[in-house]
Amino acid sequence: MSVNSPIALNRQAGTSVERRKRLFTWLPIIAGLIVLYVPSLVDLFQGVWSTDQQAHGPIVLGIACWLIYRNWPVMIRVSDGQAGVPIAGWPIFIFGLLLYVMGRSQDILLFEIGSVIWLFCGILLLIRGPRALKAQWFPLFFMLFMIPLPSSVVDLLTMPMKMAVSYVAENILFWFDYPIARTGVILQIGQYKLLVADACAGLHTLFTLEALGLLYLNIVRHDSVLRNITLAILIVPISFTANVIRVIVLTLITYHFGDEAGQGFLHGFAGMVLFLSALLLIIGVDSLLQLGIRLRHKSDPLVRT
Amino acid sequence: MNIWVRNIVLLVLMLAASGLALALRPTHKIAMNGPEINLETIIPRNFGEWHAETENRVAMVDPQQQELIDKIYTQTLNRTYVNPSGYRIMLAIAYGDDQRDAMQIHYPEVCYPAQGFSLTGKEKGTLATDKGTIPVTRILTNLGRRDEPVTYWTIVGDQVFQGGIQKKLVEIGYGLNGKIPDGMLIRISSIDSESPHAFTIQEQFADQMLQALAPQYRQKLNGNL
Repeated sequence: MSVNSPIALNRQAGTSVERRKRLFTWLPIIAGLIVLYVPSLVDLFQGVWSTDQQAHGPIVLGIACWLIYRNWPVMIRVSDGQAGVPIAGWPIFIFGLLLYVMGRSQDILLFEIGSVIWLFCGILLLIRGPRALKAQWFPLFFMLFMIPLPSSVVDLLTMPMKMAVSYVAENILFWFDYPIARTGVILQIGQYKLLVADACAGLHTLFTLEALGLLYLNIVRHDSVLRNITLAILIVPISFTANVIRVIVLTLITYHFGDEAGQGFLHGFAGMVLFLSALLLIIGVDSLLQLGIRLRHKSDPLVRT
Repeated sequence: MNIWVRNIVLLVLMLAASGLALALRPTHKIAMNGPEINLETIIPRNFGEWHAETENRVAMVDPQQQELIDKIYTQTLNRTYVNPSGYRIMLAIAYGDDQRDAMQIHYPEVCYPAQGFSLTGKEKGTLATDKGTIPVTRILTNLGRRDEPVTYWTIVGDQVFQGGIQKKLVEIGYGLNGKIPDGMLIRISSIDSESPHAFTIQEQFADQMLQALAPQYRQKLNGNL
C-alpha cells in the first residue's frame, strides 16, 4: 500500500493541468452540439414538450444529462490511453448528422432528436474508444425515451390502453358492489359520469414510468441480469396497474365526496398517486424477485446433493 | 490525426449540418399561392337536394377538444344539412395552412372515442364522385343508442392520403421542394343505425357537394381529380 500511494499522489497532481487541457479539446465539440441542438430544444419546449402527451421529455433529458455527468469520471478512467476507432466513429457521426439535417429541415422529430444518440455514440467512439461508449451506454439508451413519437403512433396506442384501463377499473369496482357501468371510455358511477381522458392512460405515463423504473434499476445496480430484464419487462403491467389504481381512486372520491372533490383530486394528487403506487409496485416486485432468486440459490445446493 | 484537427473537423461538420438544415427548411406556404380558402363561403349552404339548417339541432362531435382547434387548424366548419325527406347529415371540415408540425390532423378514429363513443368498425373504401373516386375511410361509431356512421377523407397539399406514413411522405415531397403544404379533413356523418344506407346517402351528399363547388375549390377538396 505504502508503495502505491506516492504514485497515486503524483498522478493526482498531474491531472489538474491535464484535465484543463483535455477540457479545452472538448470545446469545439461542445460548441458544435450547442449550435445543433439549442434551437431544437427551444422548439421542443414551445411545441410537443409543452403538451400533456410528451411532458416526460424534459425529465428524461435532465436525468440523461445527470447520468452522463455521473458516469463521466468512470468513463475517463476506463478509457484512459485508449485510441479512438475512426472506422466506426466517422460513419456513425456522419449518419447522425444526416438524420439531423433531414429531421430538422422536414420537421421529423423522430430523426431530429434521435440523431443526438448517434452523434454522441460517434463522438465517444472517435475520441475515447469503445470502452468509453460502454461506460455511457445506459444514459444513451435512456435518451430513447425522450424522442417524441409521431402523434399517429401515440394515438394508435393510447386508445386501446384507455379502453383496457376503463374496462379493468369498471370490473374491479363492480366486484365490490359499486353501481358502476361503462360505455366505451365513459364510466358512470351513481349519478356521476367520468370520462377516462388521454392523460389517465396515456402512453406518456407508460414512458415516464418505464424511464423511472430503468433509472431505479440503474441506481440500485443489481448484478443479476435475469432480475434486471424481468423487472424492466414487468414495468409495463406495473404502469398499467398504477393507471387503474389512479382511475379507481378518482372514481371512488367522486362517488363518495362529490364531483368537486374529484376534480380537486384530479388536479392535485392524481399524478402523485400514480407515481407513488408505481414506485411502490416496482420496489415490491423487485423485493419479491430478490426473494425468489435467494430462495432458488438456497434450494440449488440441496438439489445437487 | 491530431486531436485538435480532428475536433475542429467535427465542429465544422456540425456547423455545416446546422446550416444545411436551415437552408433546406421549407418556407413557402402553398396556401399563399392558391385561391384564398374561406370555408364559410366556399361551401354553399344549398346544393342538390340539401340545405343547411340555420342552427345545429344535433349535438355534433367536436373535431377536436376545443382548446386544440386554434393551435392546429386555421379554420373549421360545422354544419348540419337536411334533405326534403328529413334525413340529416353532419358535415365537418377542418383546414390548416401549415400541417407539418408535430401538431397534426386528429382523425375521427381518435376524436370520437375521446368523447366517449366506441368504435365498432373501420374500413378503407372509395367514394365515387362525378369527377372520379376519392379514397376514403369509413368508421362506425356508437354512443348508447346513437349509432353514427362516419365517412371521411384527408388531404395534404393537393393529394388525398390514407394513413400517417403516406402523409409524411407527401409532406417530405413538398418540403424538399421548399414548400409547406396545407391540409384538410372532410368528415361526413349521420345518425343512422343502418350503416350501408347511411354510407350510400353520405356518398350522394359528398358527390352533390363537390359538384356544387367552384372548380378551383373542388380541386382543393377532392385532391385534384
